Amino acid sequence: MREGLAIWDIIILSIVVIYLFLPMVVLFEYAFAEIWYAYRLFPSRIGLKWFTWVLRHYDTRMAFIYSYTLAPLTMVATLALCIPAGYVLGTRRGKLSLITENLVNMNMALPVIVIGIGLLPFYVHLGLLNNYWALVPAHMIGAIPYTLRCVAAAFAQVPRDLEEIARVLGANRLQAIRKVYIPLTWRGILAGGIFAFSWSLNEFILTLLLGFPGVKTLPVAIYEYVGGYYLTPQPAAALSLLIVLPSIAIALFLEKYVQVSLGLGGG
Amino acid sequence: MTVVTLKNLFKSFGKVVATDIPFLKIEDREFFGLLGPSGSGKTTTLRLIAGLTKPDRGRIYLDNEDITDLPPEKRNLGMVFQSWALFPHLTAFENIAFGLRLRKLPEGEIRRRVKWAAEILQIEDLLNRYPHQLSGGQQQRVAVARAIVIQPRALLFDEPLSNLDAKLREQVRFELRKLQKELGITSIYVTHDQAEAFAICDRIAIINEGRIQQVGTPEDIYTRPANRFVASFIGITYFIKGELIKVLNEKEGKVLVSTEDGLEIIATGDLSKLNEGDRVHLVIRPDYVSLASPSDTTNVFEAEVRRATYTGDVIDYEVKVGKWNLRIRTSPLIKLPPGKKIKVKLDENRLVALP
Repeated sequence: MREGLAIWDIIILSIVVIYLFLPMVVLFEYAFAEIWYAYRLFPSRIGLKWFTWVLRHYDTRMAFIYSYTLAPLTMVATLALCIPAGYVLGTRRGKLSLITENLVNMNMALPVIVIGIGLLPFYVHLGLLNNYWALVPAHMIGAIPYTLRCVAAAFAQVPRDLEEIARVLGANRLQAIRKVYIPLTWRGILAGGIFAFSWSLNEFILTLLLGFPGVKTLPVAIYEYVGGYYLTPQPAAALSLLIVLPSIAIALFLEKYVQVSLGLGGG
Repeated sequence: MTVVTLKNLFKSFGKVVATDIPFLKIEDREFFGLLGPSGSGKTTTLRLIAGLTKPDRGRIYLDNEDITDLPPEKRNLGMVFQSWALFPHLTAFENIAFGLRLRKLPEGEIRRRVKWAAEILQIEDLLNRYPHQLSGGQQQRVAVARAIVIQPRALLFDEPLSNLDAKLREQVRFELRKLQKELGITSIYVTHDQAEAFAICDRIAIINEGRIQQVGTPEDIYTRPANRFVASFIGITYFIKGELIKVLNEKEGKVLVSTEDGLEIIATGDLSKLNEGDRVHLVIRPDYVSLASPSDTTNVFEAEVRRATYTGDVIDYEVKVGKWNLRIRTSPLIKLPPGKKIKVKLDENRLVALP
């Protein structure tokens, strides 16, 4: 039975994988191709030319700094909001929590451009356009629903009587969160933080809309290479890999780290 | 020194009244039980005292201090939950030290006090273990140590033994009572287990539907139930319905009760609540019934054996007296086959007539 189905299984799974990874293959080719004639399937010479080319440009170096500082800032700010909010949603399952949860989930379905159009007048009136710091709250808007879900789910799994006994033993609400919930939910909080981090790293539309022209993050910088009227795929590809590689490294590291601690956690 | 006083305490969840206590005073150093069926509101009452639930109205006092509006962390109470609620990320030592660290005691004092509590509960060797490395009985001890180590004004127990197996439970009862008497901390103990409450508590409040049915010593409650709920909730209880036809002895409260199938039974009742001509319920438990000896003259009735259950230490017979089912326990040496006609004696000093 297994063997009979295997060939179709392999074909359908191969289609999925090829479909997803073909762009990556092309991306790698473009990024490393130093000489590539149009009629050839593969480049004639590969090297790091485009990486050094990209990194020599002041704009792309700044884009790097912007992207990799905005992401942790967004992560920290999102967690600062989502930990107390996740505590309420995860532990007080009242009407208010359910309504809030539904509204937050609804927000996930909104196209980012719609949020951007709604934000634009605020930023114009407050003079926050083209402002590095003002991008943090913009990035948070998209990150919050994902982070909040992670954090709230983690809080919901902690038995309620642990908080109650902590209170009776002398902890106020904040101490109960710090000494009981955080040590028991840090994995969920970390996962929520990673969501916020990668959302910020990926964020394009709001950054373009609100940060342009002064604050260009990596996605915006890439867009500039391929968008508009001239097309320079090689530097765009090199830059894209520079975004992707650190993220993959972080993801792998955390995956391993979190998995290991899952085994140790016990309790 | 802590006296716990509840005044006009009321709490409801929607239409369900969880607690409705006009007045209750728990004396200093007393081990006080809240006993009732599940859903009777006894746990809610305990949570109100702990500050984990807010009352709709009424006041709670520790001695003369009104603590009704204090958050739980300001009440300085010790509590042990049914689940024990040990912190899974902390060792037994850190679990016990939890309340002390919040009180910002110096490290030396914390060690001294944890050691003191661990010695009392005989868990000195377990202090480096995590909760999942402890047995149920050990976890329960850590939970009690954590509650007493902060030297609370009162201790609150919410069915702390119901997750232990039967044999251990029985043993821990006595230890808990001994501990409480030695420490002299006023304690409130919630349980649905009558035997547990009787073994542990000095006084007990029987609770049903949020309301106190009776407060008294275990003996008061067993021998002089205040109403039919208490009578049926405590012990194995059968009722015989009848009419009070005559007061026999005003001083001893002896009354004569006649049933519709013609039995005339002598019982004891509270004459302030009973009048001749009232319809009454007689409370009959297995230990009020015995095999009649030839010298017995009053309250002796014909009975027929229906069913026998051998339990080891006694044989538990179901017998029929008139139209009423009763239970009687005899030595396992006395064997009565089903269908056998016997004579039983009902103890008129213990048989209680209730309105």
